[in-house]
Amino acid sequence: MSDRRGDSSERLLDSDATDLERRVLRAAGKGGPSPEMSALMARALGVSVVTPATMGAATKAAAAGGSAAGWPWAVGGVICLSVVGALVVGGPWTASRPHSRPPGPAVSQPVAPSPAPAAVGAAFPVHDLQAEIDLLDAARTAIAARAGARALDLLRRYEHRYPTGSFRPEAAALRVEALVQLGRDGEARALAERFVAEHRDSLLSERVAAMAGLRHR
Amino acid sequence: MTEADRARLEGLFNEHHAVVWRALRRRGLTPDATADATQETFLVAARRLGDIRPGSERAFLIGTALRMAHSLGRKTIRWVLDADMDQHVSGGRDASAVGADAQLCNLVLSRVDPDLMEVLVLYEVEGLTSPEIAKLLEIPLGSVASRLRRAREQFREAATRVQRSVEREGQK
Repeated sequence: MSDRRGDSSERLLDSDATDLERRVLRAAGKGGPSPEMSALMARALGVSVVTPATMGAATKAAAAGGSAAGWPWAVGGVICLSVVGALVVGGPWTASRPHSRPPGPAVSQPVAPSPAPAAVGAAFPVHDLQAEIDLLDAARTAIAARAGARALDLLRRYEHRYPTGSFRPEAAALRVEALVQLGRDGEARALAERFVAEHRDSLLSERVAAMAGLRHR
Repeated sequence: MTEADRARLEGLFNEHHAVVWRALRRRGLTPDATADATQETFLVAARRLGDIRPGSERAFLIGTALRMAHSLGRKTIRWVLDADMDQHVSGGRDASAVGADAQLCNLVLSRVDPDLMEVLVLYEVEGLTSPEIAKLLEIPLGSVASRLRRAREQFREAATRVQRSVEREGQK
């Protein structure tokens, strides 16, 4: 592990990260090729690959910065973990095909099983969050394509479909941007003023104010 | 290659190939292209073992991987955490928990500006130092600090929003 000379700040995992932030950061440090893929690459390099279990432990240790912090899966956020976990497996992703290379005998390590299908009727609709993101991404794409009217239509659908959505501030910011793009400056300014008043501490406020030509704070 | 070199390469591969893989996947390479580029990265390492200072292996490998991705025209960074990236770490833990965290990870990190996200992940997750990141990304040290600060702000704001959503759903 690298030393931290030249760094001015402590890592979040070593300081005041919340349980959810820790889970996200640790998950970001997970993952890699399948055991089969690892074995194929190793063989092509003429080295041996350690067993998946050992490799997982090594990766875990590296991700944890060599500390003995462990995996506080049972601490805090347990409810979230269980309800989220019940649903997300079998989400929108598809596992990649193992990379095939001609040389060498068949790989002995088994390929990990595919994720189980999503549980029916699980309590926490994570996929709805993904759907929210998809809708906002579509609006953002429309704005990038200078299709402001289309963007506004998508944002109306977002607000209708997700009146308590998780990304309403982003939707409002995009609406301001679309209105400015359409030359509806008065509406954009009014919406921006409301936004800044309601989200004074949001990082988006500065951007929204700038888009609508307001002086922020 | 001497036996000592081969042993060192083997150690490097086993300890760091997953992080190299992730760095390449964040640049949008397909799994197959990532496998090729990962292999190429370690071939470069094999040729330059004498130049790799002990303790800086990870930075060397990620830097090599990023230059390789750049040479393939992959300058755009995006957050990817596909199911194939979780296979080797799911053993021993409940698969649904791994999947849940992966999904949370996607939800949060996809809301962080990609350029900021890369600095965040390299620093907070992969454990690189600011000077190492500055060198890898060819940006001033001050830019690393400012990107990291803004990345943390965006990350924490996105995490808070997801947390609130989880709590709200839990109350239903």
